[in-house]
This record gives sequence, structure tokens and C-alpha cells, in this order.
Amino acid sequence: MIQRRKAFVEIKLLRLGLIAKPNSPCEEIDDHWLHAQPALNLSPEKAAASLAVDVWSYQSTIKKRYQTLQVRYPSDQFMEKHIEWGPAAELLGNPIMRLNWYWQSGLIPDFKPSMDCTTALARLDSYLE
Amino acid sequence: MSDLILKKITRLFKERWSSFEEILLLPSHDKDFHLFLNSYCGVDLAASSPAISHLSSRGLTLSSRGLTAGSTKFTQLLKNHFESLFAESQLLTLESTEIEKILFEFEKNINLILYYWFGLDDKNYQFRTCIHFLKLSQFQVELFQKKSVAFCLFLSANGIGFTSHDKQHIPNTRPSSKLYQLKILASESDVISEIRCVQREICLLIEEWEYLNSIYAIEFRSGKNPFAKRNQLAIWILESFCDFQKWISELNKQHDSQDVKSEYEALAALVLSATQKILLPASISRICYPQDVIVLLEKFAKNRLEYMPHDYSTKLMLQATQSAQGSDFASQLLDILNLKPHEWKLSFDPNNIIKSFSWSYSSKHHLLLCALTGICYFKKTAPKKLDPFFLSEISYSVQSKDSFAFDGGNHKIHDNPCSLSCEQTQIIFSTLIDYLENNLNYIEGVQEQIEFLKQIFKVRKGDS
Repeated sequence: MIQRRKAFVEIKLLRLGLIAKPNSPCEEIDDHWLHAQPALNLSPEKAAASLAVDVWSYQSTIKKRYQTLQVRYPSDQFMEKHIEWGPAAELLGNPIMRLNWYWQSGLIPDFKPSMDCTTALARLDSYLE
Repeated sequence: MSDLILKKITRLFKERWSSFEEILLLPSHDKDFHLFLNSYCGVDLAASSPAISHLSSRGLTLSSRGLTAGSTKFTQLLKNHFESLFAESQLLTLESTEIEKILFEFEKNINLILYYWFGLDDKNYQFRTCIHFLKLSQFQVELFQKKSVAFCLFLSANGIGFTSHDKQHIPNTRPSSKLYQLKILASESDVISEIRCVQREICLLIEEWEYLNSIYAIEFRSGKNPFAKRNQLAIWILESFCDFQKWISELNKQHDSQDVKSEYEALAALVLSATQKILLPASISRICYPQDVIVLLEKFAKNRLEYMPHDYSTKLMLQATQSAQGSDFASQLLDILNLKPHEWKLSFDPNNIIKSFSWSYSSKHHLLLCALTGICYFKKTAPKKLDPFFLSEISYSVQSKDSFAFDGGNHKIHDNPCSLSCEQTQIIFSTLIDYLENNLNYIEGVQEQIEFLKQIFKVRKGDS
């Protein structure tokens, strides 16, 4: 998790979610400003551990993995497992859901590789070309 | 010629990065630095004010001192560093106007790199930390003269600048979007990787926005005026958002893969939500943003319409930004009255943008924008009744126009032309009134708002 810099006053972490609520007239992003809070019950890390995949797997990989689990472990016999797998597959299988988790939590996605000082220096040239 | 010299300076800057970084790390050799860093939270502790005076209880020295040996060494080394870059790239052979242009561009490059730099693996150790530790805010020293024009090195918490005259200079930074290379990538995995980097970058930019806004809030409380810095910050971030939106619009069509498309969708939602965040000082705190911000939001709306041509919320955003620049009201916006709800999108709540710039355009444009937004809410919700929250949103929007605090800046208020006919305006207002009368639950408290809105839009029925 990337630490936030120390700020003198409490930073107003207000966010419009990336997913519109079903009863809202708005269809893409949310219309209510909410205080950013991590949803602790299911984080991308927990979801990935439960499905035994990488947090940043592609959508198609997650969907395939979930299908395999469904075939191998029918939901009527492995109900407890599926209570975990269903929401995990939903969170990681849709990039907008996964990104929304970070965004709504006020956290920076820990995706690697990421832009840093060295990469930025290296890329300055290409901008000038 | 000047392009070549800019490239040469930038190349030299890059080659000598490690010696430059050593200068940035100089403060860390001071025995007091670690105590300072532990308590550092982005503000200039030396600038004593009632708002931050309780800091002394944390054991920090607030005494103002002149340039210490450490500060003198820091500035001398920086000065030498840049002097040698400029000498070796033959910058001084150019005319002073050319030199000014090159330094302006070079300054942007340096500050973009500084944006990503932090020392000792500690995110609290940034360039601004050096400036505050060494008490070098607004420091200026002459580098060279060209035909009686003195070019100075300028240091502030916001970065490094080069200026020939401006004592209130706010260092410029190149938009971070310029470092991203979505265009030239061929493989699917590279594209996804780059999109995710951009997603991360947007979260970082908003983090920077929040962090600096908290600092500006402190400065404001200490009697300073940080609006110019915040405006510049908003412009810097929005420039990147416009670039990112343009890429989404141009490139998402070029990929058939669902994996890529879904990442683009997530990116589009993120950049949209992040843009709304930049509007908060205007929509909530009623700050008048300058023209440059309005122009960038117009560009953003245009870029987004290429991605989602039927998005009516973006169309209202475009109209609001164009009204804010004195334009006429686009009659095509009336098409909404005859369209079925599935024939258009309402991606986001247009209220933020309408509230933000309502000070800048005519009352008539404002009421038209508010009425059309209200109609959108009702049309998308029908046959269900509208949540009273959205009714309040319409009321707040209508009243927002008179609630702005003008900060003495040069804010042009337009008397916009409006070529909609009297009948067209009446149709819009009466459609909204019909909805207000028929598609709302008459619960307590709501009735008052309905009456207020009916009054506002009825009175204007006779307007031309």
C-alpha cells in the first residue's frame, strides 16, 4: 500500500464512485460525494488470494479461472467456497470495479511497473523527439 | 536552432541527474534534518502564524534565520549546475527572447521530474521539503545577463523557475501526460500496462491535488492568497486529463480485445470522476476559476464527446463552458425533449459544472442549463418518481449564480446572446414544470422547493 504524504490538515477525501447506483438518473459515475474509505471486507488482495490469481490479472483470465472453479467445484456442493469466489471474481473480473476499490478508498493502485523519477527522466527524450 | 538547444539542455540535465540529485540530498546531511523530516507536513514552518503556532510545542524551531551555510551551499551548487548546462549547450548565443522561451520549456521539464522525485525513500522528502528546511522560499539569484536582461534562478516550494523579471513567479510544470506513450504501443499487454499506469497516474494527480489544496488552505488561513497557485495546479492537472481523454477517444476503437476495452472504460470513468473533483473549489466553495480552466474543460468535453457522442451530460458540460466564454445557446440541446431515454446517456451529474461557472454567463443561459438538467433527471427516472435529493440539486444550481465570492481577479461576466425563440424557451420551462407537478412525491419539505422552482421558471415564461 502506498503511504500518503503527511499533510498539515486532514485532507478532504471526497470521491464520486466510478459506478453509478441503480436508482440514480446518472448512468456512468456516481452522483453523491462520499468520504473515501477502504472496503475492508474484500480488498483486491483478498480477492486474488481467494481465487489464487494475481491482483492485476486480465479480465479474461479471471473469468476463465472462475469458470474453471465453477466446473470443478459445483456451487450446490461447495456453497461456502462460492460465497467467497463470487464477489472476488466480480471485483477482479471487471477493471472498473477493481479501480473503483482503490479510488473509493483514496488509495493509489499498486500496479507495477509504475511511473517514477527514473522512467520519467528516460521518457523526457521521447517527448522532445 | 532553439529546439536543438532545448534538447541539448534537457539531455545534459538527464546525463547529470545524479550530481543534481546529490544537491537535492544535501539537506539530509544536516544533523537537524531528520527531526525536521519526521514532523514535516508540507507547510513552511518558518512562516509563523496563529494557525500553525502550536507547532512550537512539537519541539520545532520557528526562529527565522538568514541564509545558513547549508542554504548558501545548496543555492551555489544549483547555480553552478545550471550555469554549466547553459554554457555547454550554447544557450547564451541566442537572443534574449529565444532564451526566455527555452528556459520556460526547460523549467517545465525539470519540475515534471521533480514531481516524481523524493529522497531517502520517504515521500515526505520532496523538493518542497528542501526549500522549507533551507528557508529558501521565493529565493532568487542572477545566473547571467543578456543585453541588459538579467536571467535569474528562482526557487520556491512549487519548484525551480527561470525568470527575467517576475518576483511572484510560480514555476511551471509540463503535464505528466506527456510522459505516457499510448500511441506507439502495439502489443495488447503493453497497451493494458500503459493504461493501468495512466489510471495510477490519475490517482496520483488527485492525491497531489488534495495534498496541495490542504497546504493552500493553511496558507489562506495565514492571510496569504494561494488562488493563483491553485489555479495553476488545476490547469496543470486538467491538461493531462484532456490528453488522457483524447487517447481514450482515439484509441479505444482500435482494439477489439475485451480485456483492453474494459481497461479503457475504467480509465474513462476515472478521468471523468477526477475531473469533477477539480471542480469542487468552484462548485462547493464558489471560487471563480480563470478562463484557462474553462477552456480546458471545454476541450475535455469535446474530447469526451468523441468517445461518447450521445452523452447528454457532456453536451451540457460543453454548453456551460462555451456559455462561460460568451457563446450562444446551442439549439441542438433541445433535441432531448423528443428523445427516448435509451437514445441518450446521462453519464454524470452536470450540476457540478453548471454551479461552477454560473457566475460567468447570463441568467437566461443559466436557467436553460438548470432546466435541461432537471428534465434529464426526470426523463431518466420516469416512470419512477425522482429522489428528492435531485430536486435539491436543481434548486441549489438555480441559486448558485448569486453566491460567488469574486476575489478581485479579472473575471469576465458575459451577456450571452440567445437565439432560442420565446416558444422554445417556454417549452423547456413548461416541460420541467410538468415534471415537477407530476413526477415527484409530495412529501414534506419538498413542496416548498417545488413551489420555489415553479416560481422561478414560471416567471420567465414571458421572457423572449
